Amino acid sequence: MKLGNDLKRCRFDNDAMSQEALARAVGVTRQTIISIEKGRFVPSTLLSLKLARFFNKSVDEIFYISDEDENQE
Amino acid sequence: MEEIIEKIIKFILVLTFIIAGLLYWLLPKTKLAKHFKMNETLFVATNVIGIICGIIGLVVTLVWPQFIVEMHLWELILIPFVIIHVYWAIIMKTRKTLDVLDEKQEYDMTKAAAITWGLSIPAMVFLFILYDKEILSGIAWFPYYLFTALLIFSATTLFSFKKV
Repeated sequence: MKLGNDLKRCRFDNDAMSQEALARAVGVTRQTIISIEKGRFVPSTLLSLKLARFFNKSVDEIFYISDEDENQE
Repeated sequence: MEEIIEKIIKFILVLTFIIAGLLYWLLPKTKLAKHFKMNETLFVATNVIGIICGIIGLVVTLVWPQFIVEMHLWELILIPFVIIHVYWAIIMKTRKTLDVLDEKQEYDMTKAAAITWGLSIPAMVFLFILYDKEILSGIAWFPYYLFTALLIFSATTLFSFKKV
């Protein structure tokens, strides 16, 4: 199980916002936003809430559990 | 000649310490203070400087182990790394917070610290072998450990941060 997200889609739905602009808006670095979008970094609860609040969405509208590994069981 | 070099190095170290202290005390009170902030460039620069200081320190330690300790050269090599951390301290004082890194930077540094700890053991085993074979002087153990740890930590942090 991995954490998936629709952060990139949310950015593009928000006037094609850049990663840099989003990073500045929520108080993190651009590298953090890139890492989250690529699934390489799991954000903290606080950061997830900040992102959700910024896009006026709930946390589970942006983040979800990806069950891609379930078939291995 | 060696005494003169040692005196010059000590003078540079004391002068750097005094200037750094004055800057830490004065700069946050000036109008320049509003420009002081942590950013990606500063974070990357800090780790690049750490890598460079680590490499130079390690090479000098292995080539001139007696010289690097007796002439206080290891402190001189560390000056750029210390200065950039004085700037970090100025940012923290200006922003009135210790929390200047974002969570991924903290995560990368924590991961780097664990890797540095792990790799420092074989590094010190290697030093022990050099010492046992009388290839390297025992006096060099501290700068060797310091620069090895600095190099591994800075390189790992930078690699983790940039690896996206």
